[in-house]
Amino acid sequence: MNTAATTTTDDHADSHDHEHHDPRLAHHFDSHQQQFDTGKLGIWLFLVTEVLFFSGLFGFYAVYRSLHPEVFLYASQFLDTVLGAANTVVLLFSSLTMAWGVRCAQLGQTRGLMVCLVVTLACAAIFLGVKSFEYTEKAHHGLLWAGMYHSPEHHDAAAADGAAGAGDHAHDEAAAAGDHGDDELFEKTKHTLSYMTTVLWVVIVISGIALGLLFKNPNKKTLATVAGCVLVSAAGMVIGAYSSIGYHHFGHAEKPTDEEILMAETVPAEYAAQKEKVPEPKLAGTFFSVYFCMTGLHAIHIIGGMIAISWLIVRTAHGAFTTYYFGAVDFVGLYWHLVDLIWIYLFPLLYLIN
Amino acid sequence: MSDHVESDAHAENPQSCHVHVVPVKVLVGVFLALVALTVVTVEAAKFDTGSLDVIVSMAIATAKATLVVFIFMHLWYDKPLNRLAFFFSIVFAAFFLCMILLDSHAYDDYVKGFQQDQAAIAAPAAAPAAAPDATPAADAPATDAPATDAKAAPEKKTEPEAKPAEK
Amino acid sequence: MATVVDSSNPKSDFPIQYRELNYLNCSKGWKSWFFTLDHKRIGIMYLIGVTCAFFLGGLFAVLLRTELLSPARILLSADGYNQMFTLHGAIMTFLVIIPGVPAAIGNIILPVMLGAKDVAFPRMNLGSFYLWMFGAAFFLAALALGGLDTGWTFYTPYSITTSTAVITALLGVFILGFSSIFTGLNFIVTIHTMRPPGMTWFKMPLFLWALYATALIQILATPVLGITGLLLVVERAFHIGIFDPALGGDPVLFQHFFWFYSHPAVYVMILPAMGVVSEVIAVHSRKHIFGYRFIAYSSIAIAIFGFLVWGHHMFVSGQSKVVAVVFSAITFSVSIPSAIKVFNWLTTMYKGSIRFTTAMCYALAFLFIFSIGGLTGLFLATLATDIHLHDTYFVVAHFHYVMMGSSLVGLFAAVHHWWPKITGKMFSEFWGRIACLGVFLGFNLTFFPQFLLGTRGMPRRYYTYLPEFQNLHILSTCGAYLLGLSSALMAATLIYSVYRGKKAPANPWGGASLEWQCSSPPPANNFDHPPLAGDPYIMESVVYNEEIGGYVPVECQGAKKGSVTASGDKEA
Repeated sequence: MNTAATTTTDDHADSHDHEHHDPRLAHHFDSHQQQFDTGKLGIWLFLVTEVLFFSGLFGFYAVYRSLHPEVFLYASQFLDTVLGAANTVVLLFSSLTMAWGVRCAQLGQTRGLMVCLVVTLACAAIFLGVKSFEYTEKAHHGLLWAGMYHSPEHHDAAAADGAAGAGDHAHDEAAAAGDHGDDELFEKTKHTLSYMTTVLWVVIVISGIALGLLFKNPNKKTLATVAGCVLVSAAGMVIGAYSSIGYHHFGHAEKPTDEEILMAETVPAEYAAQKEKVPEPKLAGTFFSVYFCMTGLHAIHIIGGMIAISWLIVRTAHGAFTTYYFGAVDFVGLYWHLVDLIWIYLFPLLYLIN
Repeated sequence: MSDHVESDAHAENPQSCHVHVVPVKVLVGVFLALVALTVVTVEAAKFDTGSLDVIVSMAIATAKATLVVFIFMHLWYDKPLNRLAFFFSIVFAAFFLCMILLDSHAYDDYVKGFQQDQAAIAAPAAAPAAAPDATPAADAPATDAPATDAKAAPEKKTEPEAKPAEK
Repeated sequence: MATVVDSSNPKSDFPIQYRELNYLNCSKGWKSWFFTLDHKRIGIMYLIGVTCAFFLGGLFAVLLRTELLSPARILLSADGYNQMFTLHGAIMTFLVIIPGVPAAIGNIILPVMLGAKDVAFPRMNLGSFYLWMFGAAFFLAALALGGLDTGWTFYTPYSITTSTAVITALLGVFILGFSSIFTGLNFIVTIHTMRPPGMTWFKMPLFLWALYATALIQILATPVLGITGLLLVVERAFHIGIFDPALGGDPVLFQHFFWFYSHPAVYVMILPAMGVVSEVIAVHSRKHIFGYRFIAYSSIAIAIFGFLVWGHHMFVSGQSKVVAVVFSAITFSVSIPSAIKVFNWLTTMYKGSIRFTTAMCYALAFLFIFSIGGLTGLFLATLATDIHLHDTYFVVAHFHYVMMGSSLVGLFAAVHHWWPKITGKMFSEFWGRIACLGVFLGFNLTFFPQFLLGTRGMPRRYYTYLPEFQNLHILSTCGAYLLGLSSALMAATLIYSVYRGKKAPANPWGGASLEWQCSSPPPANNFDHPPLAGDPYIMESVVYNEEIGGYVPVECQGAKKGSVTASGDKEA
């Protein structure tokens, strides 16, 4: 008790370390190098957990493919390889821009970093846009997970019955219904898109509020940057969804005989004409369970990555990153590459089964 | 060409951070290689190579993944510890998958026996027209699969664990 | 009176024993606690949370045991009984034992032991605590929304069909899993990058090795639990047909997924307790730990073996014979590193000057109980014996000997060992020892009869039983009451000490690791300058000083009184 005064002052002086006032260096680190290495190890360990997290789903896939290979063979033809491949390239490109962004950050090129991040964000959004079209299309044809799966064979059978009963008239009607179905699909896609945009708004607003709390004084620049990120994301998703609609519409009309591109709703028609008609196996819905689980979890990771990239964009706008403080860019980049990595495996596993 | 630029302009500065900077040429080259491999894997899938199919597409995917991990994710230039960490995650995931796969066919016989029993039960009840091969159940997958009423052998074992006895 | 000695006083050569301003009182108000980034405060919050959960889970256990006093109904309906044992299991596993030593004690002690100012990612640390709170809230919500009656293992297909709040509880498990991952990640990174000068890997205290091994498991196994829980949630909500046999799913696959995490999780529970015991036994025997490297390596070995044995939970679930044999064989091999540890602890005590402080009493209780728990594990690892013992009270007794009797007793030892450091107060050794005796006797009285019940065929999780089992059940219930009362006495002793206890010196037990070098309780930033670390088990480096009532480095003592010998141990 008697020495209280001296210890108190001592403590105070020490708790604010006077050696460096650099706000970019956390108080418990000695140097930027240590801080960077620590963060790097941390993010790698996080990626380790991510790999194991996805390993559960890959296990799901492996077990069911080994148990029911015919299901996978049958059901994967409902997935559009071209859209999948296009999405792969988009994601690879976003990986390139992310890696380039990290390079810019390391060299202190703020403008280049900004461009790279925005392009990455836009690519992520395009990916989601295409994905939303694919999901809507699957839902439209009842190709959902096991509990909700409606066999396309039943559509086929119903159509055949109708044709047999009423002759030409019914055939025309069926054709009309087909066109109508197409339009409906596009309408549905637009709906999905608007839902997703709404969700995006909510997410961005919430994260904006969170950022505002973190930054203590959310100034106009921050708000403007957040709004910009939302715009880029929304635009990307619209581009993605509309170009897949366009592809679906025109690409399909141009090459109706291309058997590699088996569009889901054309399957009943083309299917009947196919020589080697594969009978629909039992449990075909399991494939779509796998499909939705894997791509769904991946899409959630994409959304998480988009939030993280938006955060980087805001911080870049504030000039937070320097040649000796760019850890955050590097770490988000690593995460982003992992998401890309998982897609690299998902694409052949789901789309390219022959 | 691909000589490595080190960003230690601030070597004497305490605020320095030594990292490896990957040249743009390498980045773009890797990207092009990745796109090329994507095209290759799509084309390869068009040929029916039987059981080799999975192996080929996985091999290509692994090649792509290697490029991403080593160049885009800088693991080639990174500390051995980080490399080790990532390596371990792959090993553990692989181990997990192998053990599950090893076991996934363990009760095939039970399931087959169950299905035959079911077919045998169903056959006299339905018209004799129902063929004994695998297809009859195909139209009603949800109701007919190894179901709740008569538990197949593997399920039977788990039952006491899940359902505690009541008074 | 306890003399306060301060290094700023030029006349004193002793290190600072007590500071007026420490991490507990350096800032005030609820905000300074709820938004703190200080690892010690986060650890304290964890400790409080874990204690509350422990008494809630304990209450359920007491209710269960009361119900089992007679085969007829006493308190609970059959459904109520099912819900009670499920929540008892789930709360004790996910809310108490898993975060107990690592997140509560480890958070407080690990950075101080490392001479670091904080863990590597303080914000993530706080986030981990809030995730824990959030997960706990989900568990309570599950309790309110119709309970949970699947058992803590959530086995399919029952968990898909039951009408209880499975989804809520699973989301709780998912969130708690991430809390655990963040803690583990933080610890690994901290140990790798923030060791002080002079502390090589083999100069780390063994508690850190244990925490490191634990964190490895947390990182590698917990994500699989996360995805398993998520898949089961999706299965229940959307019927994706992965685990549901009605949709072509495989219920045994769930067991694989579940135990891939949950068996390693058993080592998440026991390894930190082993680390605690390594510290406590060395310090309270005043002797260098025996076989340091063996204990360190055996921690890592247990962590690795722990991954390879999950199938021994599934010997009667229909897994393939080959897999069962492999798993059985590897399970036996886990006993090797465990035995190495036990022998090394025993040898450490040999010819040491053992003091039966409360912490040491708990450590000895750990040794006794863990030996029984470990050895009965071998019965269950044997394929043939397991057929007989599977799902009986033998299993219940076995895992309580390991989980409760070892992990929690390890936690109690840790709390008593570091209590002076955490709170700056000394608790009553007398009442502490009484409580320890009560815990030890109560525990064995509760669970030893259960071994007998199990071998005689009493199945686990049953609401009622044959009349010939009643005597043993009554014994077990009496033990549970004693155990509950003793735990309450322990808590009361400790809480009393916070208000009325003597001020603790910096080093009351004579430990040589770094956490004893800073004052009790530590200041907000632990160390002004990174301390120089040496061998953490050279107990001769500190000697007892009566003026202070604790131990001081031998150099200081030597400067003060030249007569004290290096090995001088002044306590009786």
